[in-house]
Amino acid sequence: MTDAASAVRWLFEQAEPEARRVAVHQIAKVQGREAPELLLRALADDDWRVRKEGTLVAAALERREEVVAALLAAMEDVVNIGLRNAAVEALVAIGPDAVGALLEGFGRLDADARKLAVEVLGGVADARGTAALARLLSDEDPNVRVTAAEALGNSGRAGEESRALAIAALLAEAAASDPFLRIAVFDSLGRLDARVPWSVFEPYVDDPILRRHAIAAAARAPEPAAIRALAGATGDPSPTIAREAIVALGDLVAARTTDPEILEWARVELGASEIGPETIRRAARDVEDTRARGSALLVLGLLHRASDVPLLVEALGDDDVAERAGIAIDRFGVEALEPLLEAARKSKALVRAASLDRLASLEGAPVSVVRKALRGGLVDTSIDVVVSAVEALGPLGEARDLRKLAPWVWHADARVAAAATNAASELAARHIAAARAVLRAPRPRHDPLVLACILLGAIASTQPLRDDDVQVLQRALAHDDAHVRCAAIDALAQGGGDAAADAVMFALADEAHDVRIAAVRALGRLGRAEPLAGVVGSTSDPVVTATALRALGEADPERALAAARPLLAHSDAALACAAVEAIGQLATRRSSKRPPAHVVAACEDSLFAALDHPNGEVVKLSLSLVASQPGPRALARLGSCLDHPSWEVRRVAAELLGQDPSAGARDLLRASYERERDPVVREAIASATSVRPGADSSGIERSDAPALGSREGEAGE
Amino acid sequence: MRTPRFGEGVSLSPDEFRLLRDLFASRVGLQFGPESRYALERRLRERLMVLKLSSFAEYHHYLRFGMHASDEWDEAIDLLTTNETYFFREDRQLRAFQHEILPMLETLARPRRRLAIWSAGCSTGEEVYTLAILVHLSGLFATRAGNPAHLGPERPERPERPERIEAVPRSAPPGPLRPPSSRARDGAGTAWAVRVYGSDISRRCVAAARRGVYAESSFRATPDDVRKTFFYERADGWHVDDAIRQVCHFGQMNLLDEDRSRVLGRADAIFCRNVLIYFDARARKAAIEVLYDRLNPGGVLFLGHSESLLNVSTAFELLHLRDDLVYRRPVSPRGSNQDPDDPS
Repeated sequence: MTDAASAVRWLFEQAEPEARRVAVHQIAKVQGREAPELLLRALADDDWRVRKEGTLVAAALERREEVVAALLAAMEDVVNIGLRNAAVEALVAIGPDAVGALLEGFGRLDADARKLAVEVLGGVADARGTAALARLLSDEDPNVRVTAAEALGNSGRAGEESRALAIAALLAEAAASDPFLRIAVFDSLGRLDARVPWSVFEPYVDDPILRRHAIAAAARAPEPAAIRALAGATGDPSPTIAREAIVALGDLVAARTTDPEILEWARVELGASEIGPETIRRAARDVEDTRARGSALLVLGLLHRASDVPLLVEALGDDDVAERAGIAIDRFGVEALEPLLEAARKSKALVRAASLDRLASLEGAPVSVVRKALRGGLVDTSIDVVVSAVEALGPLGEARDLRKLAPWVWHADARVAAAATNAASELAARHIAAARAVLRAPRPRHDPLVLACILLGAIASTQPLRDDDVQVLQRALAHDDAHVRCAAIDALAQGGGDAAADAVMFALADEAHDVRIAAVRALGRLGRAEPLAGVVGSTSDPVVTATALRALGEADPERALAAARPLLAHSDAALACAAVEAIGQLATRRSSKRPPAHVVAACEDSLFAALDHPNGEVVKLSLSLVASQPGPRALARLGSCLDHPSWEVRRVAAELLGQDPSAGARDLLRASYERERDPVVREAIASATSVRPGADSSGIERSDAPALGSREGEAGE
Repeated sequence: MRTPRFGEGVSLSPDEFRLLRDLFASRVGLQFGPESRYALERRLRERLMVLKLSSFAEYHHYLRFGMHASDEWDEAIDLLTTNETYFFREDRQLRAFQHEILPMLETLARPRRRLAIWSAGCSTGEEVYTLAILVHLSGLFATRAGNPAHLGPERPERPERPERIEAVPRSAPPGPLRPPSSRARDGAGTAWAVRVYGSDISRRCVAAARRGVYAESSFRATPDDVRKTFFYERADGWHVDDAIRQVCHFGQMNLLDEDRSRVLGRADAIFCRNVLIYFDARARKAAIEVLYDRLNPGGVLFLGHSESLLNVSTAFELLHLRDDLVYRRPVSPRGSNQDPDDPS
């Protein structure tokens, strides 16, 4: 017996479970055949924490074949249930290496042990396991059959072929006489997101046990009869069934936004129901059940009853469902005007603010009516509402609104001040006479130069400035308040010209950081590449560098790339990140501002190079940009990042690959799942392999998603 | 050339969401799933406007590397954390604390006559004041300045309050709680130093907690007699009685900041309820380690009812109470005489 093994054995003799748990950790240091034996001892412990620790350690032990053999033998222990269950968990943790041995020894296992073996196969993403599970649907033991059906629900993680095989096998048992087997089959088909013709589930719509599963499946079978069943189920006396139907209908609405025929079926069927819409409204008010609430809101939008709009508007105040509420309100168009106006006056603050936002962008709404509501919002007691109103008056306001908002650039609340700055600038550009009148108005309590700079900047964007305007800006540029100097620089950038550029350039030496940033930004707008390149070369401030590179990208993309490239390998991750962002911006610009092709190609090459940076943050940033470039090169580099030392990089790589529908991406993910040890990354990989191509994270399908019946091997082909 | 409006029409792309998600998780333990993308965009967009940034990628860079990043982190956290709470929340657990744990702690801490309780993630302070009230009501820890009050026939008469609510200056509260009865275990003159700490990552919440003024919604679970004894009403809301306030202390703290947490010294009881559910597994583990280190040997940890230490830590032992379950740091082999302020 080795010393390490002796120490472990001694610790295992202690009464304190914590001591025994510590012993489990030490098993990894034990060489030779004693390690598997000690592992089994841990898994047979009375204390769950010791057993749990054992399952985690199992995958880290050497002599894996012996470990697997020992665990398989433990699964046949008829006395110690804890040991058997722990052995299952440990085999799952070991992963595909356990599958081969498990399958080889399957024939000699009794029914109980076979059931446990099936749990192992269900926990490991492996195509061999899926094939075995499919065969086990015909096992002589009913418990094994049911467990196999449940386990097949996880087959998506083993890749598309496994998923398809699992679906086919499950469908063959959909009409099984055993109700428990049917339940497991239906549940697994749901987890596999299988699109199955409604005829498979229709016979069970009235079955008291299977009805819930049939209703859930109806959302994936968008046929008139399925929609009818869903609509009817929204009024079901069972709250569980009703909820299932509402969620399924909401998913249908979210997923079929480009299919008007399906949506029209749903709307007609719902309209014909008496109880269903009331149930849906109750769900739309239930703040405890966010999932059902969001679905209910979408369905109410589809139902299109004017009386429901106030309910939808109220939901705008809840971040968890606001997006769906907004989608639903959009269906009503200008019909939503009156409820929005009412809510903007009377509802709680967040709803008032959101209502004003909606009103400002409501197609067909009379501008005068909207303006009146926005002006009402200016005197609201809630700052959120005031900010919304101020922001919206920028594009919609009149000259009189400029006179009202102008003093608010000095508002004590930074949000109101920022919104007023933006709004005043927009209004001034459209109402120049009013802007000049505001400039002339006395402001005894405030330094007028800030406002003057904002207004003159706006005027300068539409026409040349007068000489006295320029003098004002020059005076502001020399002001002792950095805020005023920033405003002057922004204004000069709007006007353009050599004189403005010279004035701004000197501000690069300003003692205030914010002023230097404003100067860098301004030089970008003025198209002055030379000083910007100088800034990049002379500063180590990451924010100044990032701003300068971005600005240089506007002025001269080729010089920006030349300035950024050397920074990609900089040891300071902040500077390297700034360079990656700037290059990424150049490479992903829209067509009207896109740099020459050779610059874009060079940017792409640079981003690939940045993947070799030792800092994980730089790599993550580059990964996102690389992933947007289709092709085998990007795929290969993403795949290599699945082995990166940083778990965060591996997770991002998995998520990005999950959005790639190609077989190559699936293969890379599957292979990495087998070797990945970090639980967060494993979950990301599992989720990535489960994501259906064509769906984004909100569940809204893109229009290029495969339609019903187009998958090979699925029923309906 | 049109003046750019910062924040205008800016949406949070999936890539930007991932960057911010990872940043918030690693720095402050906040966890955001893909369904949170819209909410994150809505809440943070105004920061782009205030900071004059053009994209969420810039905002990420600012948070990570900006000169004034620490100020901006405070703003972001205030926007992203939800802080709904009230007095005497999860009553069953508080009863267990009052009737079973406090007597146990009194015995444990008697040699040093110091009781420290930490509410980690205290939000707007209701839990902190609740715990201070329970300590008072237990009658076990007579303090130097204020003294324990008891509900029931032995309670001394309080000075009469005016019928109408008037705007009395805060410097003239209705009067302190009265001196103790003879039921204090330790006898007259031997006082305890009681401290109840409240910390939260949100600066706004800590400021509100320190103010100690509450609206009706905070009292939904508070017995009327408790409210009348420990709070007084003014035009701006219900104020916490000074005798309770003076044992309560507040500070802004990130639960993942191990160094910062040391300023608290060690506690006899820690409440960290409905906080860890917002953390990912890594952050949860790190936070639990901090809480373990901040407990005196024999000290207890209260988590929310939907939370447990399963798969997170086996350093604690489980303590089964009549009405609840708590985690306890094992008593040191050297016994409870170990200096609780020893940071080791």
